[in-house]
Amino acid sequence: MELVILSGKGGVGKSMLASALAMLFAKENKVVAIDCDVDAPNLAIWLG
Amino acid sequence: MQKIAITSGKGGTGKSTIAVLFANKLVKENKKVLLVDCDVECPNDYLLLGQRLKEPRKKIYVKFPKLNKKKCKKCGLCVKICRSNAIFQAPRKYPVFIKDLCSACGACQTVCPYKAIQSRKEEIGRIFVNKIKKNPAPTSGTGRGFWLITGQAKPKVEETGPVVIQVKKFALSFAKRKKIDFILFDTAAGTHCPVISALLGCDLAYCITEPTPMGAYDLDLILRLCRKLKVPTKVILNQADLGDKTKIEKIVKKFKSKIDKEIPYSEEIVKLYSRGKLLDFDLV
Repeated sequence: MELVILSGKGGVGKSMLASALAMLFAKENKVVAIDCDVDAPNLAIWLG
Repeated sequence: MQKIAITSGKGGTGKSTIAVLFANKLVKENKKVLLVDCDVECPNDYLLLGQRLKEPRKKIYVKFPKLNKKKCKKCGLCVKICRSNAIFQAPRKYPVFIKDLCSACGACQTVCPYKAIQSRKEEIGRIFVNKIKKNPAPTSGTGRGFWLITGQAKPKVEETGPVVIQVKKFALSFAKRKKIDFILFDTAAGTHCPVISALLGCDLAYCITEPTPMGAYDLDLILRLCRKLKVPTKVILNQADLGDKTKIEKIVKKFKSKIDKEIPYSEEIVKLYSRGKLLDFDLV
């Protein structure tokens, strides 16, 4: 299954939701989280 | 005329809010102000100012190449000249133009010896002009208004840098006609092409950030970009009292920039913002 998290407006919580979903799904599944915001990627920070 | 950009690496740090408040402050100082919304993929300044985008003042077009098969001799010169690799040609076949890769530079048309490549105009964006009438706040100084120019890219346009360039060109000649003192460019978030297009040629860039690890990381990116483009910077720290400032201060020092303003978190601002009512707020 492939999920996309996106928004028009900035700062609404894309990375936060993505990291939360990744952690949640990872409890029972194999998960790959991909940060496609290539010019300001923050997902790594969210995931510690 | 001073050209000032309001930018940030991170989204949602308060670019548009601060741009609107800044425009308002300058108007109160009796300056002639033009605010240009260069966030062409999601322009929001007009909403913060309670405006509507009606008839576009101008439409922005690019010219994509189109092949006239009757004239084409399949020589392949257009394929060789194309820097974007947007023209594909199988052996002994007609060249095929791949629009998503094309930057509409026109090189293929220029180089074709048989004039077999024509152009097809396509709309990629629109420009709107709004006159923001006098400040609704009773405390406002002169009550003089300012101008808002909004750039809007058509959805699905892959490369919006050219839209920003056209919006800026329009805005600069508009500003000249109206004898504007300050022209403020509100950019998109990030460090990609439309942001670069907006920053180029500005006298100063206000980089808006917040005291979070994400804010710090993205501030580093935008300050690095500004240094590359040789645009001087000042940093505005929004919601300054909510997180840890030390990282931000370190980055600001590294780039020899300075924190010009710290805006504390305010429930009042958030409430006004959520209702799209900021003009009467005296802050920046």
